[in-house]
Amino acid sequence: MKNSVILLCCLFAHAFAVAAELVTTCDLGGKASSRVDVVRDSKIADTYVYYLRQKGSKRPFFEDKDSSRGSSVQIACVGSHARALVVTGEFTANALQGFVLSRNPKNAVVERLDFAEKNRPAWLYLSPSETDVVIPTHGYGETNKKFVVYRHVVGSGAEPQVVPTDELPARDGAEVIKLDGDRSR
Amino acid sequence: MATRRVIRTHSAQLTSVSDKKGVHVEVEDLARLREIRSLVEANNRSTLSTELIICQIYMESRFDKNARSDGSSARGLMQLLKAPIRELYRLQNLKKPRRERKRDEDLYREADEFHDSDQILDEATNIRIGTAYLQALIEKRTADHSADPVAEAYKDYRGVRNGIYYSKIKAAAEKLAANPESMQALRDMVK
Repeated sequence: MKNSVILLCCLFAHAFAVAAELVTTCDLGGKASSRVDVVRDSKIADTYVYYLRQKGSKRPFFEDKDSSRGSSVQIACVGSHARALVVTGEFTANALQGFVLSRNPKNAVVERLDFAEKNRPAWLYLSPSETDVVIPTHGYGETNKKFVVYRHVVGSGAEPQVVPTDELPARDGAEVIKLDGDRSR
Repeated sequence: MATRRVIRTHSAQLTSVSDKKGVHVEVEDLARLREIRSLVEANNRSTLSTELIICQIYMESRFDKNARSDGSSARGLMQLLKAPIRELYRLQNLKKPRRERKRDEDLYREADEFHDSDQILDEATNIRIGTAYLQALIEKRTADHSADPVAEAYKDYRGVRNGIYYSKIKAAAEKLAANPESMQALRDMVK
């Protein structure tokens, strides 16, 4: 009897140890189904496997669990009109990888813009028609221009446009959000 | 009365105006290109061509081993983050007999210590590690029967799948191979 109790305690302790940890929740607006959770598990050193959880379904950040193991992960839920979840971190590529999740105001579908550069994104432009992530280059990478803009046209399933530029994009009615880099998880 | 005879006149200023415009010194760039080529020839641990790796190094760091990024752990000529080093340590560990393998926790610690050390800034070491990592990605894609393992490996390396990175360095490498003593292909690549 005593052994059974100890065994049960061990099993419970193990279950708690491997349970996914909720990192943050972001309500992208609209219906309750636009709520997205970031959770993580499988800690090794300062790395975890990161997942997105929406409508009860949990999937790794990227292609699979192996490619979703990351460190120095920064997560922000931003925007005063429309809301967006912005994630960056060091995963398996030789670049900081990240993505923005935002809700298409026309059909309430959550859309995703993926990016990867050596530097963290500095600005996010959110408008009903477009999402732009602006990343400084500091003179390195695929262009000598000052910035690289990853542009997602809302409603489009195409790959984001990647635009090198020396000027910040025009505001054009978008909410411009300065992203700071102090939210490592 | 004697008249003064003017021998010569001029209107130039006595003190010359210095020309402060920057002058591009081609010779130094070319010397650095030759230096990088020698380093790549001696330390390339991949099946990729010397020219391709040269173009990659220029794209990553502009041949500056002290290049730093804002917010990532990128270091050295090939701007290597912690993750590639950890992956290489993990793959080396898997080659050992099971009972000799280290725990992932210990491996990551060792990989991070190496990444944080000055060793990774050594140009030869940085090229060896960076190209070994690329080769590991190529072998993984080859094992997956990818139609173009190199192109797919570069997408894994780059973290986005638009293919821009590889197409740029590949095109520049072809131009560099045709004209190996010119920096022009490299400069055009990042315009």
